[in-house]
Amino acid sequence: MSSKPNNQPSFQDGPEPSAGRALVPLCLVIAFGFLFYWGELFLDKHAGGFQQDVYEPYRSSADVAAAQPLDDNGKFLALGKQKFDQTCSLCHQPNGLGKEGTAPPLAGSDWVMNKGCNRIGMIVLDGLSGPVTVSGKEYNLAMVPWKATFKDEEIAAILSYIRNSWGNKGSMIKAADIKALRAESGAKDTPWTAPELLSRPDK
Amino acid sequence: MAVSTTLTAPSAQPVSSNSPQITATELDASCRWPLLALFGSAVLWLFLGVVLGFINTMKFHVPGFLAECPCFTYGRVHAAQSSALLYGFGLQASLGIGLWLLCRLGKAKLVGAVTILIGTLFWNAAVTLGVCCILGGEASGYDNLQMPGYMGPVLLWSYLMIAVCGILTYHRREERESYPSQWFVIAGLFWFAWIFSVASMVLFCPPTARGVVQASVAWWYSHNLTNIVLGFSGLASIFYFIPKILGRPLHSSYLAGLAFWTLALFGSWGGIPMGAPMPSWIPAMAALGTIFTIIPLIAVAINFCHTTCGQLKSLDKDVTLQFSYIALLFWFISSAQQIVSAFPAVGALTTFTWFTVAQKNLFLFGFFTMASFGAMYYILPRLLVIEPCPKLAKANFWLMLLGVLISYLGLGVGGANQGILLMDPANKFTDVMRATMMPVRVSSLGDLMIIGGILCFLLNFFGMFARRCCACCKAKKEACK
Repeated sequence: MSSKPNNQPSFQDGPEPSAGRALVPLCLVIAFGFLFYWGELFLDKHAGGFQQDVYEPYRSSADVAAAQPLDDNGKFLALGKQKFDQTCSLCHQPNGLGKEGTAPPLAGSDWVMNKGCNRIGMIVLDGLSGPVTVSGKEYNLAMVPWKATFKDEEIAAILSYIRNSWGNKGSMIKAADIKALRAESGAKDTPWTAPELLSRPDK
Repeated sequence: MAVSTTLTAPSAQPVSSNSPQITATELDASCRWPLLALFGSAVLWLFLGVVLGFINTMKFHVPGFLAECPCFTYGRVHAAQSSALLYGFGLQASLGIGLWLLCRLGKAKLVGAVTILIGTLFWNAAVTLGVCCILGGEASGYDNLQMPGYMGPVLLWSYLMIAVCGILTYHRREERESYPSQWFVIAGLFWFAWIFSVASMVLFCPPTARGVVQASVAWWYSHNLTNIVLGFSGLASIFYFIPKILGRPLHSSYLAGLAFWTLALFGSWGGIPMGAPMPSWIPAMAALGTIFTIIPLIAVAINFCHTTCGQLKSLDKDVTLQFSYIALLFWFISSAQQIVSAFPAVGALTTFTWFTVAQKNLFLFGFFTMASFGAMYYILPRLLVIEPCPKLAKANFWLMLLGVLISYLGLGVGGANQGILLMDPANKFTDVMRATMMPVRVSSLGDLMIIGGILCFLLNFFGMFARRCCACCKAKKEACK
């Protein structure tokens, strides 16, 4: 295009644009900080804990688990969990690890993992006082009796739940077993001691 | 022109003493044929795309329209239309504008004109074949990636032929300091190569992904293609032409950098609607990423408020400036609407309604197409060394502006109403659909105006080309005498 005919237009081209060096306003940076904070709250609410099994409209794995249909065993364990969380977990803790000076652990406890409920069933019904060795560690505390509070089925559900949670694996306890224990304990109004319980057969 | 004290004007000085300054005319001459090929085919695809789109719109009013021919059933035409618009028009226009910006801003002649021409040829052949395959029933079924998977290698290869020449041109630039438009262009070149190769591998190469991965990759690709690749191209052109024509420096390169990085980082997450059938953290992250694009939105707004302050009077001075302003405005509206729709409460109302279609159309026609038209009105006359017809340009601008507005308002208002009606289970679904008929009619009117505007541009382009050819022939004849 060195030789242009006269009728061709000539285009005016100014200099290429340049960019100034004005700084980003500080208030904008601060506002973005707040936005990021809000973003975390948003994710807490909507991201389902980043679990791969949580889909809309559920909010957390617990929601999803609660929405699953349960078989009879599942319903029984759910009842046990509900009663345990309401009452027992205050001392034994929701994770079953117990609390120093308050209650011995249930998770991994040799008492809980007995063959049956011949001993722990009695503890729940009538309470326990005096020194007791749990998983090789000595405790000296008192547990109150629960026989007036819980029905046979509820105690059976609680025992089944603690025998099958936090890594424990044990058989399910039936309401009939507790009924038999209740009849055996009769009108006993003092808590059990560890030697008394240990004299009972493990079944 | 008033030049602020913050202006660094390296462009005013020669870059190095031993190389003579390249003039703008020489730069334009170096990219004449590759760019004419890219722009010419882009405009033809654009026209074909909107005509296909209108065929589909007609089916809402006359359901029997072209219903006997399997090639022209709704699903196939929809897929063909999106392919023509995105791959035929969108990517070619963005490549052409990008290459020109790299030449101009880097003060370097275009590298590999022949390679680009061959790449353009293959790209157009691949898109043509792809669209024919779609009309023949071979569509892949992935939104915005409808061309059959076996076209992928040809498309990628021809794209790379063009993109690599762009990168090399940038590498050889005389002007070492880069301008924001160059970041957007270069990022766009890499971005498409990245997302297209990944999406093709995951979705088409056996063993193809299934389930959640499949859906999220498809959504990710579709969103990145429009919002990042085409979005960056439109922004590159706006960031260049508005300061250039106003003769003022861009307010702040830091704000532009903030917009660039946050848009690349957060803008690319979006596109997956709340309630999508995948673990809810994925749509939640997508929504959050979209909401975070408020940052680039504000950064761009501040930047252009300061750059253009008090200069709005000069709007009708220049057709490129008009198009760029309006494109920027539509980018704001469209992005803001996307952000608002990302909130779960709003998204529940608007997903699967015309509201989202309105937003997408505004982005493609209001923002990207208008920004490209603005750029082409600046570039084409310089490539052809001939003035465009001002009357056609004016008609083009007003038809596009009104068409986009009417279509957007029709579908936007209709879509919001549709969402509200759908939330009430007492409303029958067919009644809700019937209530959208009037908004769709209004938007069809807008679509017709858009087609008219595009036709004006097509005529203007090929008119300029024809006049240029005549002038050349005349000059040759006179030279013979």
